[in-house]
Amino acid sequence: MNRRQFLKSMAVAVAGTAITSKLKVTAAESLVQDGISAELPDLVAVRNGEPIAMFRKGIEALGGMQSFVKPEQKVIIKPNISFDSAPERAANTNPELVGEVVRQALAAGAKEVLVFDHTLSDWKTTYKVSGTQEAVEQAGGKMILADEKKFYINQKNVKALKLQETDVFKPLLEADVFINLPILKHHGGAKMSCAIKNLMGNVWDRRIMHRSDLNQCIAEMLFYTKPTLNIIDAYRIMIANGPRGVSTDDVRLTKYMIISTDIVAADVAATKIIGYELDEVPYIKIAENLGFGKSDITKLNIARLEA
Amino acid sequence: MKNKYRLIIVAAATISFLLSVSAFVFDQSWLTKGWLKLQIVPNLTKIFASFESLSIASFSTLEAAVNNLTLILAQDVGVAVNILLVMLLLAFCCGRFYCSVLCPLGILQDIIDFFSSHIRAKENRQARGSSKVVFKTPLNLKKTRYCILAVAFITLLGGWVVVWKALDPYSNFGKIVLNGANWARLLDTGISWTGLFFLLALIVLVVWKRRIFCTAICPAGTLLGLCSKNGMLKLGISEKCSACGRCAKVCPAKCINLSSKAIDNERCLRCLKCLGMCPNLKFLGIFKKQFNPKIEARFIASRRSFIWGGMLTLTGIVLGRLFNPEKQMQACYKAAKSVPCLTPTKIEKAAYFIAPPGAGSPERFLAKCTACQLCVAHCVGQVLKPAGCGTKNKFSGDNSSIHLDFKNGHCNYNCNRCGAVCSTGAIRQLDLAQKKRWRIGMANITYDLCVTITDGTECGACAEQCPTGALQMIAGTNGARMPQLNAELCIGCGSCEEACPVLPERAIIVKPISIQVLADDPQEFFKKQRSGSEERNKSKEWLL
Ligand code: SF4
Ligand code: SF4
Ligand code: SF4
Repeated sequence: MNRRQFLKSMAVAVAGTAITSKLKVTAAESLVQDGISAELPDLVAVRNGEPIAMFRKGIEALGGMQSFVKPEQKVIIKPNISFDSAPERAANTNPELVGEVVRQALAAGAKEVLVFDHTLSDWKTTYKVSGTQEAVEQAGGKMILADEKKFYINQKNVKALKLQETDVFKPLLEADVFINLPILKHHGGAKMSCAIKNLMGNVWDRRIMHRSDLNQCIAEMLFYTKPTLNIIDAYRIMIANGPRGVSTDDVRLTKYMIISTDIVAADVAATKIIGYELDEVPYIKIAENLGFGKSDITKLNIARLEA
Repeated sequence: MKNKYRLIIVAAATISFLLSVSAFVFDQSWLTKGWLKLQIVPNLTKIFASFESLSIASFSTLEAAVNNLTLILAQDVGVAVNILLVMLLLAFCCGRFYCSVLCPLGILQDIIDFFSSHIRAKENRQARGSSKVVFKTPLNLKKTRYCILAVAFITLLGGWVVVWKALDPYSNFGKIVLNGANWARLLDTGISWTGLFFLLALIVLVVWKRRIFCTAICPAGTLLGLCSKNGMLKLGISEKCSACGRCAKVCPAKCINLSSKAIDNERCLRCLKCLGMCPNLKFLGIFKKQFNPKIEARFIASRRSFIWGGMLTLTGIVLGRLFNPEKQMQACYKAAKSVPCLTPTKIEKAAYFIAPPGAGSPERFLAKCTACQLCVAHCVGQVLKPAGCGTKNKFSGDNSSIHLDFKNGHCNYNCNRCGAVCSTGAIRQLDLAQKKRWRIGMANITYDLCVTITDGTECGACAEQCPTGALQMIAGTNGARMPQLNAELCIGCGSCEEACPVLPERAIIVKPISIQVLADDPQEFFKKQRSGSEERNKSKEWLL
């Protein structure tokens, strides 16, 4: 790190802390206004704001980024950046949001923040066209390449029924904090792509998952990589022709965001936003049965915030 | 090096060679679209490729013909003409400097020659004193090279680049370089066997007779030779020459005739190795004749040569017309009135491969591509493979040309690179919007293999990747959603084939098609399908 970079990141850190501490007050206020106890909610839903504003509001309700990222920790963020299409097409997680998460993670004291996806289109163009590369680098994070088999190491899990071994992205296993940052969209094969489905980008061979009961395999991904935090970008959602989408006609502006540590609950909330029944997306139930979260969100403490 | 002229040539050649190699390795448009544009054969074939716009009949549908016409008008043929003229003019003004500093294959031969002359020098030293050096009049092989050039041109007029494909120095350099400089990507692209064989042949030729390829075989060299033959600035020997033979010994082109004390400026490659060796050898003034006029032998139009010429022209026309794969296919289409023919002919089978977007049709590509491998080296999706490489599926034919192979990649939706780098006119440059609808193949689902049918579990790997929405998952027959293809939207990009998890034979394979056409516009298509877009966030109620 040269001096300029250092100064820059210091400035970002200071600004970040300032913002978060200011937000803390407002968030706490609004929580009180909404009549929710000061106890931290299980799931936060934010709506009607720009992605960055919604995220700031939402994360504050969960105690701020510092309750997930401790100083000197290594943070890895997995947005969904599968296709070489622009943000308006909603095939990839909103780049501004990715940038903001990176910024906040750094502000919370993270040693380094890495961002990756095992892209489906050519990685170079995808990182660029999606706008993620620029946003992440501006925020002080690092985009890393996940396009070669040598970056993955073999992992086994006897508890899994179908996916008993798979090659997992190495930096992900080495990180202290794993932030799952999916975008909510329609998906031809799995009906819906969101938090749990996003984990498929953590492994090298996805073909085998399609080959041997896709829904079971998607749920079993959680044996290998369990996110610390799930942030669902539902600002723009793709409601047809997913996960790639054909044009902006497939996209609707919904302006929602879900944040939760419970990946199952987060995905259930997502089904409500996109308008699917829970049993249309079977892997959510499977994940619950494997013990990765609760699907009955009516029993959860949900904070609903207007950004 | 004592010879300062030679020093300049060597320096220029080194830089030029490195640039040419880099153009195959680095993704820089000033190299691929700039530097390599100086090569004369691609410009030549590009000019001839533009003639095809005149024969609209060669396209099955009017739409295809119109597309083709607009495409050709967009190609920079004018630039190609200009570059070609400049190169020929340069050869007329000062000789074949092209061959010593611009032609990468020429420089490659000089490199091989450098090593082989070391070996030769060693042998010479060992055998020193054993015999007196005897200078024979060097081989001229005029007929050979004129024949090759004539056949090359006439087949080109017939629309077929076959001779250039085999002998063009730039294209063959490309084939060699793909193997040499692109080691890292060799596993992805596969070995260009023709390149390997050509390199071996070239080594044999160089060790045997140094740059005989350039003076007797290379059609581009012959063309330049014709320009420099009676050019403005010639190399010559003065009458004071004592025929010591030093100059003739270094000359790789073997164009110094010591018995007549003259230099054949038609074959002289302007390597300038001889210059500075002897004061009797130098550039003559502008338009000055050589000391011994005998060497300026004209091409005597004897009856024999007339017969020769006639026969050659005939062979060329026959070859160009009858065996041109493109023309053959046209005849085939006309007879069958449907595309493709039901019983494939041999040619059609050879043409059964997926050609790069912008090639028009596999047959046209076979007829127009000189196989320089530049597109292979630069394919973003790494799906372009040299002839004979790649995996076969039940639809692929002989893969007798550069073709797309979707086993480990797909043609990127946001890419039109191959057309941009292709300088021969074989792959026409499509603009990105056009490329996104440009059909190069057609997906084909074998439901008996598809996971959603055989196992009854969800899959949709194909639909997930399909950029056009041509694949949709619909209610299946075995519990899980199964893929359905809308052929009107499919562009044959192979994303689905690459993704399909069923191995070894995939449940979805892209089949080659006979003619590339524009597929339906997906945006329009889905707009028509959908009516009234509901805004989910209209309601004041929380959705969850
Ligand atoms: S358009 Fe397709 S075939 Fe051509 S370079 Fe790009 S990926 Fe390769
Ligand atoms: S169906 Fe297959 S080949 Fe056709 S456009 Fe879709 S992904 Fe490409
Ligand atoms: S990818 Fe292959 S197995 Fe999967 S749905 Fe498509 S055709 Fe069937």
